[in-house]
Amino acid sequence: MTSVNLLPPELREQQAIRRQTALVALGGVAVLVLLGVFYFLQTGQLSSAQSDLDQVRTSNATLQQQISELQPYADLQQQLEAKKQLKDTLFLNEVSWSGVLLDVSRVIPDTAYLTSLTGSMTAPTGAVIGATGTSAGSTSLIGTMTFSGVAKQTETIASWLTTLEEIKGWVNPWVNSAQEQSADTGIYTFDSGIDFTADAATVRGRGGAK
Amino acid sequence: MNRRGPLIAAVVSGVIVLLAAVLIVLPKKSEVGKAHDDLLTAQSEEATLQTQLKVLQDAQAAAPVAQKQIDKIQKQIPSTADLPGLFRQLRDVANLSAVDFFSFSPGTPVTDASATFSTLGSGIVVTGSYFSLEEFLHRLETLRRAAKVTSISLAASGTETTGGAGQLQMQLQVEFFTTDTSAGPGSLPGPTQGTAPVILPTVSPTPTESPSPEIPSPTESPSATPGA
Repeated sequence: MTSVNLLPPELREQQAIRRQTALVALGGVAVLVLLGVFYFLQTGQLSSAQSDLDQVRTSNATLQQQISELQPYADLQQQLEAKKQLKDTLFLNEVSWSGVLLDVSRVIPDTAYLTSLTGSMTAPTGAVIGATGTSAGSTSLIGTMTFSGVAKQTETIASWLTTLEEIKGWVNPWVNSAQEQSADTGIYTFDSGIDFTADAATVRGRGGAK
Repeated sequence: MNRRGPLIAAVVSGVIVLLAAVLIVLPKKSEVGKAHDDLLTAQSEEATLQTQLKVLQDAQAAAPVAQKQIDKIQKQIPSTADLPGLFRQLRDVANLSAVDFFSFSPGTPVTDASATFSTLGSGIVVTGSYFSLEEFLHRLETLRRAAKVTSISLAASGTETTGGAGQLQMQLQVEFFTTDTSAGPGSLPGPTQGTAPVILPTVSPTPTESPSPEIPSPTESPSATPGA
């Protein structure tokens, strides 16, 4: 059976337009609802983020307070470092003269004796221990020592020079003069010397480096 | 209702949606983004603070040792010239080394160019046997007060006729130090230095040292040995 719409065409057209308008308006509302849902989700996220942020900020404030309370310990460490550095600077290139005397007593030949001994250290040239690459090289000279003595035969003096050089950090052994006291005695008075390298420095003179 | 009704509805809906998005939703989204950024920054700051706190807690744990080390260095490089203490220490060293303490001439303190310490260049002359002098030097080098021997001169002290056979005279130039940058005659009395001592909140005071003079025992071989 065929249905027959008896409404006039103008009325039917108006109805269709109204339906379309309602559909478009409904679509707009739907989009607005979606935006609303998105908005509420964002609000939730914001609230959560703010809560986390507050928590972290509170924690940071506590940490900051603890750090402030412990700050004197950092100052103490800094003070210690400064004092250590000062000490290292003061003892830079220090030679242990007691060790030097001991070494001399060990190496002096039986057929010789010293009448005088003089030693001095070279003033450090501003090298700062602890700074990278500024430690004194083992070849730089840090001091010198001279001896005057009496030896039996020149061989003794030669032997003396050889043994001097065997000591760690002692370099450039030399003799300024060797003179026989009187003819055919074989007894010589001599003046000799030695230089010290950084290897001869004490442990603290090398900034604690072994 | 005319035929443009749906179009108008679409335009009105679009405008409302656009306005809602621009004026309400997007600012909120931006707020969320900013809050997340702030959170990340705060978390990063927290990590930094945690690290900083850990370092400080380690420093706190090491404070007694650090304080001891500072006290030790303070004794080596005191805050004043402390000549009386120096005299006593040198006298004790001379007595323990069995040398005749002949003379001690402390020089006027000279402030270093860095203005952090002063040096007392001093002359010491002692007489004794070779090994007494060696012992004196060793004790001087390991003195509680920092001492740096910068030059040494050793020669026979007397002859058989003067009763000094076998005796040697040793002349030393020794540097002592103080952190007092205004020391010596004519200077400001008391310690003068730039840094104030650190006051700790919880560190227990270090035990006071026995007043009796104590010479530290040698802990290391001070010199290189032949053939080493």
